[in-house]
Amino acid sequence: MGRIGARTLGLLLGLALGASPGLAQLPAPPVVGTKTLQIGGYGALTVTRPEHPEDVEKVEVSELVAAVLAWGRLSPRASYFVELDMAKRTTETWTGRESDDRVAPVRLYGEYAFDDLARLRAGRFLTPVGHWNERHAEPLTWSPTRPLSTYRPFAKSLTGLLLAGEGTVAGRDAGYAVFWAPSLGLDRHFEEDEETEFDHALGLRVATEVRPGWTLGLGAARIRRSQPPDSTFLQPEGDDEERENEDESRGLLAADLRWAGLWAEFDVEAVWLPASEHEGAESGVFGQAAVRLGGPVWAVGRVEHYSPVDGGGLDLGYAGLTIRPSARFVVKVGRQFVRRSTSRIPDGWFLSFSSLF
Amino acid sequence: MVLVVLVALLSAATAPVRDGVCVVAHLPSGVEARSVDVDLVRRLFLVRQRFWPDGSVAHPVNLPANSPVRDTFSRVVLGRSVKALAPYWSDRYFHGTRPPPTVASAEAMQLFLERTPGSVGYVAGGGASSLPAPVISIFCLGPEPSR
Repeated sequence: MGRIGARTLGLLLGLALGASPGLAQLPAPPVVGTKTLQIGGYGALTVTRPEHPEDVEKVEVSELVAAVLAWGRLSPRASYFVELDMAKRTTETWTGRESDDRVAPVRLYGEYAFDDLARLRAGRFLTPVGHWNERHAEPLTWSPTRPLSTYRPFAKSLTGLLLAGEGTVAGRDAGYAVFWAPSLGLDRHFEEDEETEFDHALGLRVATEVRPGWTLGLGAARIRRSQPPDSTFLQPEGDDEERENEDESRGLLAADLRWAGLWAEFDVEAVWLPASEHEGAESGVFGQAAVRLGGPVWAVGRVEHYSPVDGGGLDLGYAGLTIRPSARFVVKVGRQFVRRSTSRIPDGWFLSFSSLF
Repeated sequence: MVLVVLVALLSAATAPVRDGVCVVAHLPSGVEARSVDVDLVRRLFLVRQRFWPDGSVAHPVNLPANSPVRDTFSRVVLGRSVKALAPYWSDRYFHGTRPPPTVASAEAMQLFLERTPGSVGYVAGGGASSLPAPVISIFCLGPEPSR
């Protein structure tokens, strides 16, 4: 046993658990189809039971989501994609949605593929920061709640241009996305109710499979937020303060590491906005593990630390079960733990049903 | 002992299939068969690559999901069974990508390949000797892998 290198043992263990090459999640996946129009979507129903002392503890439907996806091929190299989110929200949802009773165009773009290394996307697209934001649909995620780090510090969608591609580097799958969102004023129209809006953004994300099953992603951007995130969610009710509505240009750095096997998945994702002349630093990091208990039942755990611009940190945890009786239908039940619980970010139970259709 | 167990698990997961599978294609004129390897075929069938090295559009085509030949191909070339790839395709569906189209039978696949330049598919190991021109066998994988 002593002669067996830890590296070899780790590789064998990884392979035995089902890790395989080729499943790395790369930025801005292409639209590929043979039809002019295809329609799909997903829906989700989330029920919560908050346990904050200021709340009346009761079970309530906190969010009902329906998203329509439409995509198609206009020529062998030209395609388009549309995602419209329709959310009815009765309370803070912890899924990153602020829109209430309105249709939000999350994606609305055309894409032209010069080749596999260069696809140009124009329109509104998911911001390629971390990997959660680009697979944010409830049926694809492991918990009913969304880590704050995956949507509070940055805009979930941008309007502009994106150049992306993928290939292999040293035999490993790798990809990149360069995005530019100029000040068109459109984001204010699209996201008037969103947590965080960008007035301008220029950035890059690269991701590569570093070992079988392991994907490492790194990102950097220069951004200016027209609507900085509201940090009053950390304050007790009634202590809300108005924030300046304009932000200054600042940097954003992101990193993520993901391992996906047949019996377990691990995710770590971090985002950091260094302090600028007038604003303090902002950061968030979470680690999540999902382990298959047997059949379609998975145990899911997550810890997160988030530090908003105004200082003061928030520690959150989540533990629950996720049941995937099929690849397209998911039931999640779990409890969120918050060290500094407020009425907007309470301890509590969450139950969600979601499905791709 | 731990190593023995791990190797046994690994062997079970990648046990050689009895008949093997051969990747067959109607290659574009600018692509040589020797330039097509397992990794390229894997990327084409996972729709991670859409174009042949000469820039022409690739048309991968599948047998039905319950086909033993497809499952063998999936395990040997893509690294996972058809069923185990379901979450991958759910993720891709969210971005507007479905698995390569399916034809109903090996005969239908041969017909599709014969008529579609740039297409690529697979047949059971024994079927690679009776391919209609211009469809050619690129490589075979099985108990005794060979090109």
